[in-house]
Amino acid sequence: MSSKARGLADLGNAFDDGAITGTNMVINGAMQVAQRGTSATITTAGSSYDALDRFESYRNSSYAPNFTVSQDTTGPAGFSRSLKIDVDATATPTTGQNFGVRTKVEGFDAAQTGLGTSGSKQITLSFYVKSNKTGTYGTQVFRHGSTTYSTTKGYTIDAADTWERKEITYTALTTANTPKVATAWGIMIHFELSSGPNDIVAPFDWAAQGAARTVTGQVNLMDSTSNYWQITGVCLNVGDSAIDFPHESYGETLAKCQRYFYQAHPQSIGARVGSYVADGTGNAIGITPTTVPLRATPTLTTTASDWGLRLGGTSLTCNGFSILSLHNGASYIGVNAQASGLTSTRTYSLRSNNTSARLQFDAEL
Amino acid sequence: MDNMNITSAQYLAFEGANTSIRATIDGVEVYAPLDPANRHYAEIMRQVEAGTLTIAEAD
Repeated sequence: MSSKARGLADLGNAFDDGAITGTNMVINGAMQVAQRGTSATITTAGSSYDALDRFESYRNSSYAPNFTVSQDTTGPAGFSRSLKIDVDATATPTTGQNFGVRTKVEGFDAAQTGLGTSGSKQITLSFYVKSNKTGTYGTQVFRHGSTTYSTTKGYTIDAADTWERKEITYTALTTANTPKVATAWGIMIHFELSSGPNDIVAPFDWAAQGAARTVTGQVNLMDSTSNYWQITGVCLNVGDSAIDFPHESYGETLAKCQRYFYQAHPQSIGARVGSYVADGTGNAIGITPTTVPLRATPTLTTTASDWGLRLGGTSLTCNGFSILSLHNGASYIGVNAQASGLTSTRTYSLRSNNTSARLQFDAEL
Repeated sequence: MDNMNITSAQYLAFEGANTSIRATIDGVEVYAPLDPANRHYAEIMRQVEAGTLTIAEAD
């Protein structure tokens, strides 16, 4: 057989195996988009989206590791950005404490895997990773449903301070668990960085386990302030092998991210971000446009006093906000901005009082 | 699955009906809508059902 014919035959076999089907289910896997900011210092327990869009840091059971998460401007060949964790203070997790980085895939996008149904396919996670701390790290993939199932597998960082590509294939999940296939989260990928002893167990295939677990040998990234961990090129695809990372334009990725998080952040004083009509003397109702329809009605985070309702050269400083509604499928959100001394039925501009003013709309999974 | 530290929650009302919840989550004040698909609202209600959080009535 000629080399060309062989190549075509191999391609056909690979397709039949499901090796090159599907697309990347992970949004912002190249770590290009960081709407909230390029760096954040974390000192508390909890779950938070701090820098890179769609990637969350997770600290449970009162575990409050001190670290900085940032969008680093380095990466392996073909990648200009990465997510970086820098340890700011050493920490030793106990019992069931965990710290890791995770990202969630919406149910609509997870449905292609068939996970949680008789037609389940294998899935493959691939990524580039770098750390000064070599050794074993765990990954855990969850399938959300009436019962949440998860599976764990480890990977090894072999060489310090060197980008390494990892590919991990997970078995099919044919146990029916009424998987989420709409706007709820469907799949969650967790990269463990620091775990208490109770949650370090032998790698397992799918089991009814909705809590964080990692694999035997898991290193503790938090054991030195010299430690760091970087990741980029994160890809999850259907099949028993990894696809090449499907690069896309910054604009495409930004629009995808804005389904889950959008902010009006003019970064200047006096910027107008919408027209609001006073309804009584304390409330003004307005519409804030978004670039794409959001996944769900968002949570609004803002500092009220960063904004004013302005009319005829006079600004009334805001003292509160609330979300009124999301118009399903539409790219705008109803917002109630509050201030004292409004004149009913008058139209005001919502105006930034300082450069840090921002309206953040969070519809994350 | 989320792990939120919620230290206060109060309904906000407009035109006589509750429209959202002002809550302090992980030390940050947020305005969460009354939408079960919203992760903050879902977690607030989970903690209410668990008896670990109470939502104050609107002023």
